[in-house]
Amino acid sequence: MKLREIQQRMFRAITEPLTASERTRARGLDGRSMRKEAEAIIKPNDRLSSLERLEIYNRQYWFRIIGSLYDDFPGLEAILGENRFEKLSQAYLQDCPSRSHTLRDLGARLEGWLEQHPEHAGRHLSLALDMIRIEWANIEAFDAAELPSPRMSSWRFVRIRQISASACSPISGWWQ
Amino acid sequence: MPANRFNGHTDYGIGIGLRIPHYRHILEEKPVCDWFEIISENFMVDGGRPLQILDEILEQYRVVQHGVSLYFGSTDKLNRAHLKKLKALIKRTGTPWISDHLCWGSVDGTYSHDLLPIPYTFEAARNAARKIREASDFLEVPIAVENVSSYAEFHTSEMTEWEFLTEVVEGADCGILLDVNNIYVSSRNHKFRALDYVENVPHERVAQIHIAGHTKFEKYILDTHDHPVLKPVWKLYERAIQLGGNTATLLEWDDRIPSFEEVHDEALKAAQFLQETTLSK
Repeated sequence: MKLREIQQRMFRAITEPLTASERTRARGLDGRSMRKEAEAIIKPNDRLSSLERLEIYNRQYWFRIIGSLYDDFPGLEAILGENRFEKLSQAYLQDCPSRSHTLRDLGARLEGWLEQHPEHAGRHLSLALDMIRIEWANIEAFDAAELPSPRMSSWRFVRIRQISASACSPISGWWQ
Repeated sequence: MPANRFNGHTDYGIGIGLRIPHYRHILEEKPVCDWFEIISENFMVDGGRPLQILDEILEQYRVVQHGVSLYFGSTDKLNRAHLKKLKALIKRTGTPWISDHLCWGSVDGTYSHDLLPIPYTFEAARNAARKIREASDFLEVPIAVENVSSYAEFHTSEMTEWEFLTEVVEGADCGILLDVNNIYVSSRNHKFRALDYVENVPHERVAQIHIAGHTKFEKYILDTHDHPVLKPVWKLYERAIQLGGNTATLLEWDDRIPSFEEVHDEALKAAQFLQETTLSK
């Protein structure tokens, strides 16, 4: 088997969603046997089967990326609760896996994705979207380039644009 | 080798990984520390707090960059945007060398954010060596590649891990970041003699050594970086510096991070081995 095929098959295997008990599934989403897939690529040893060795990486993958979303969106987790947040995270990351070298960008598409999949936020959709906007803005502000402060003379060119207050009001109400 | 072309002819001594829980202590107390290793990706940003902290650290300390996502082993092409950001950071830190892992972790531009083991084949060695050369040419700084811990072996492998590492670094003409904890972890997971690994790498290419702790499970050992360095890892370290000389050494402690002093004291245990090696020569 060529290197590229090994990497494609292993990558697909380790990114398969885990079972509810956080184990590797018996069958992949496309119905193939995960045991046979593991055996085709990975050698067993005297303590672990091929599938058990693959499972170490399968679990590491999901623990790492879902953990990263927990770190980045604690407010969203507080709104949805742990179970719903975890289900949302898994569904989001299946649809929008990382396309960046840094985990910092993992939540970049979360707002747009949730708008397309509102069932994952239930009755808290509006509040959840507001919280995602705030928490993502916080991530961006943390390491964004510093721009020079505007000089007083430049203020006459500033155009004030009206924005909806609805993005803020539910948050303030929620915190109270 | 204490100073060689793979670490910019430097002799850096004993450092520790720069981690967020220690920022305040380091900036306020300014403890003596030979050098800090930073995770490059944490500072490849446009501005803000990370670069502000980094600049303050750079005023007082020497910094070496260590990366986690160049993925030399992936069949994907190197990411040019990534390399440009990395080069900008290299200019900022003045790092004499950079390191990243001899592993893969992305397919068709999708990232696992894991350090996945490479099948030890000649095809994979040529692929990794070519990418390391390309990166080194672009970045204009020596590169050292680190051996990773692994939990899987491939049917297609054609050689031992240390033979594969040698094949890659000689093909790329690059350095080695020898992680003796990773050697120990993999030796237990795959049942090979760890000393065989340490004794058979090209020592003249070792630019830096990593030491760290790990966690034992019932059927395997996991590289967790959340414990002090264990005795068998110190023994491998001792052998590595006997063979290669006093080499820049760094303690990794990434989870359940104790106080700065505790981490630094653990790292400084390496000093006694370095002294013994110096006296015996």
